[in-house]
Order: sequence, then structure tokens, then C-alpha cells
Amino acid sequence: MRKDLSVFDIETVRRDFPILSRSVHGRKLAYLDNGATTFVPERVLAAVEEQYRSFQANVHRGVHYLSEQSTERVERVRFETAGFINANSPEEIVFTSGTTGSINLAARAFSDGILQQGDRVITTQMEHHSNLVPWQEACRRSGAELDIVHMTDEGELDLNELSRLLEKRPKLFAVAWVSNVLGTVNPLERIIPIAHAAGCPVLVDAAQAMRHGCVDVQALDCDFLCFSGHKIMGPTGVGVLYGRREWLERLTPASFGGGMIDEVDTKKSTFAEIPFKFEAGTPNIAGIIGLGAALRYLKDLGLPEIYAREAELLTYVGRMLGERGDLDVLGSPAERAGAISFNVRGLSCYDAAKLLDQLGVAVRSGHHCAQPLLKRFSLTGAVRVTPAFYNTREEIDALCSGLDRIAALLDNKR
Amino acid sequence: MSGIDAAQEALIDEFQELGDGFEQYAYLIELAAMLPIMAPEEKTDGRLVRGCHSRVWLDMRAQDGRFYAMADSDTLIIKGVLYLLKKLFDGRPLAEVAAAEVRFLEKTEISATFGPDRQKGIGYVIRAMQSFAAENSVEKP
Repeated sequence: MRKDLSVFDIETVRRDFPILSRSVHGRKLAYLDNGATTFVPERVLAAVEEQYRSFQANVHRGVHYLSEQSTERVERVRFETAGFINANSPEEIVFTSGTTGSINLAARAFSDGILQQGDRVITTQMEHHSNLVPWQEACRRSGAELDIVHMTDEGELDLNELSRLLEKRPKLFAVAWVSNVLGTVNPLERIIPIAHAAGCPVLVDAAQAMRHGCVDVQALDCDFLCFSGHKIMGPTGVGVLYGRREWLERLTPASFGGGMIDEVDTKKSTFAEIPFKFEAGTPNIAGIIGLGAALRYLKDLGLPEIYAREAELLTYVGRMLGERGDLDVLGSPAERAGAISFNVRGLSCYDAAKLLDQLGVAVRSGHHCAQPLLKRFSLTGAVRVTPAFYNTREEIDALCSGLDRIAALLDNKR
Repeated sequence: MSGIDAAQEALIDEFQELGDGFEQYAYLIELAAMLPIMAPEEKTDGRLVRGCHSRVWLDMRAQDGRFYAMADSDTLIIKGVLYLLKKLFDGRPLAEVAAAEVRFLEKTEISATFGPDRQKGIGYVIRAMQSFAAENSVEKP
């Protein structure tokens, strides 16, 4: 019998996620859509529930006990988040609604004060729409130009093209750390110094990178980094924009209202210090508390163990898919993390994912909010498999058995 | 009972005998292979049904008071549904097509497992077929 990948006790870990044991369509669930959202452990659910049950009061508003408790709890998570990504200080952590919210915040702030007519911004063909469309709009608002770094056939960024584009002295380079479709790990340790040498700050979309390896914003030397709670076992609707202090101080707020002001007069207002000037309105308090619980959960489980297990699972998926003659895997990057996508020959990705779903295997199909990437491969969609550390080889085997059944079905049809 | 109603009842029985969702989907894929091929040049943007998540091309004609359609999709499961719709409507009087109550999707597992986007898309296809039939029927409903 094949030995399962066990860098930690998988059965114990799986018990933290009761949803893993549910069934769908009368079959055992094999949830392989963690790139879209991960499941939430009991500990996070308990933290969110406790916030609503026992605290709930609004933050930064009141002097009463519960308000002070809520404020302290939220600020503790800010402190822990800073520690998790090794930010220099908690003031560099802005809570948002998620990666999309973080990038939109940055793009709005850049278009309102940094970008001028004729300036340039760079992003890539590989991006999730969330790291492309906000920059298209920021350029439209400011009159700046958007340049695109294209991909090689392997699904890697053309770094020569990036170097050429950097010669135009762009105001920002926005790039994914890990592709949400191909799983390509972009070599940020090489890219960021090149960009900085050209005087260009770098915003990193780390939505798919957080469970791949250690995220250390100081070692990475990025200027901004964005991620979501719901892809790291936290709740939906909460995320983080990390910004280097000098950048956050320089940027103007993107939304306005309560909580972000210093002094308000009927004619003019002044704004609070960072990070609060970027957090207008009541934040997702319970979401932030849940995010904190998720970060603690991951740390307690062991980050190196999580990275290792996820890497091994993805390697296993890659090998199993690679051995099949009936499908085409997208790209062949030197380093892949988190995601692998494919198309079954003769079958649309929708058909394949729907058939797999009927067998209890949850995978994603479609354009994955990355239409330019798919067009690069002359495709309109793909099936994407994104395991997480709580998955097992048996679940990946269930995917492969499902693909076998589909293959038999197609053979009968032919 | 109209010819369409009787054909629907037969379809519902046929699908219910198949068992689980995978078998029903597998059957739809088998049916997809039986849908007459639409030539690539016939799959024009003008024939695309708007609002469908999958791409669906529809080319309809009225002849001697009866409804005929050619249809295609980039998704096999949807092609299977198109085959069933064609089987229900092709060659039937236009007025009957326009007035038909299409219920086989709800009465089988097909509709429930499609999800809201595709359900809506199939709804657009049926509406396009029935609107065409109504517009071309001399017996106005």
C-alpha cells in the first residue's frame, strides 16, 4: 500500500476541518479547489463566533469595555499579521476586504496623486483580472500607459521584456507571485532588485503564494503585498494590503468616511495616520479576528511542514496528470506551486469539471479570472486543481479515477 | 396531450431510469454526439445565443408551418440538452412549439445539477426557440 505524505498527522489535521468529511451527490468529497477558497478550521470558526457572541462592539469608537476589547483584539491581529509576513511594523498592515480590495485600494491611491499623464505602469499577461483591471482603470483615470510583460510557452514571464519595459521608468510594477492558473512561481528575488534598480516600486499579488513558502516582505524587499484571508484558512471578506511605511504615508486614501479622519470641518478634512487613513468605515471585525486565528492555526501546525506537504501534493498531481495521454497540462514552468491546470482532449473544461463534480471531486473550470493568460495558450478555459495541505493522495487518486471514467465515456462515444 | 408533452414524458422516464447524476451527464454526452454537425462557417456571432455561459449557436427556420433548428455548443453537456430540445421541437407545428411548457429539465436531475448560470443560459435558448416559433406561426398564441 502506498504511504501517504505525512509530514504531520494528516488524520488529526483533517479533523480540524469537519467539512472535509461531508459528501456531495452521495459521494465522498474530494475538495481540490483551494485556489478559490480554503476550508476553515474549527478554531477559526470558534474565534469568529466568540467575537460575535462575546465582544461584537465597534472598534476605535467607544471607551466602554467591549469596544476597547474589540479594538485591542483587532490591533493584536494587525500585530500578528505584521509578524507573519515580517513587516517592519503593524502600521504597514492595512485591513481590506481581500486581495482584490487591496489592489483596488493601491490602484486608486496611485491614480490619485502618483500617476500623471504619460507615466507608465507595468503588469503581466499572467495576472488574475484583479491585478490587471484595477491598473487599466488607474491608467485610464490618470492618463498613464499600461505595459504588459508577456509569457513564454512554458508559462513564465519574459524577463527580457520586463527589463526593456523598465527602461521606460515606470511608476509601478504589479505582479503575481504565483499564477492562479499555471502555478508558476515568479522569481521575485530576481525581479524586485531589477525593478528597484530602475527606480520602480513593486506590488506583489500574493493571493496564491501564502501557503507556498515563507512570506517575508523585508527579505523580499517588495513595496506592497496583497493577500486574502479566505485562501489561508480564514474567513471570506477580509484581506491585507502591506505597504512599506514611506509608501503608505505618501499615498492618499482611496475611500473616505468614519474612522479614517483626523479633523473634520465642513469645508475640509484631515486624515488619520497610517494605517487608519486607509480603513474608512467599520472594518470586518469578526473577519479580522478570524484571520488572526487562521494565522495562529497555520503557525501552530508548522509553516515549513505546510509548505512541504503542499509542494509534495502538487508534485503528485503533476505526475499523475503528466502520465495521462488524454489531457494537456498548461505550461511547464521551472517552479510550480499551488495550482496545475489542464484540458481533457475532446471535452470542454465545463464538461470535465461537471462530470468530476458528480463523482464528488471539486475542481474549478473556466477562465479563472485570467483571460489574457488563457488567450496566450489559445484557450478559453481549463480545469484547475489546487490541493491544500489537508488533502490526501487518495483524494488526488479520486480525481484520476474520475478522469478514467470520463476517458471511458469518451471512448464509448467515439 | 400534445406531441411535445408525450415526448417529454418519455424523456423524463428515460432519464429517471439512468440513476445518478454522473450517468445522466454521461448520457447527455452520448446524445451530444448525435446532434447534427453545424459547419464552422455557420457558427457565426450572429447565431450565438446571448446570455449563455457556454457558447450556443442556433439557426432556426420555419417550413410549411413547422419548426426546424440547427444548434451547436462548445460544451458537450449543453450539446446533449440541445439535442433533446431539437428532438422535442423539430418538425412540430410552430404554434405547438411556441405554446409548449418545457419541463423535462426540472423533472430530471439535469436542471438541478447545472447551476444557476447554465440554467439561465438554457432558458435563453428555449426562449429564443419559442419566440422564433411564435413570430413565424400564423396561429398567434
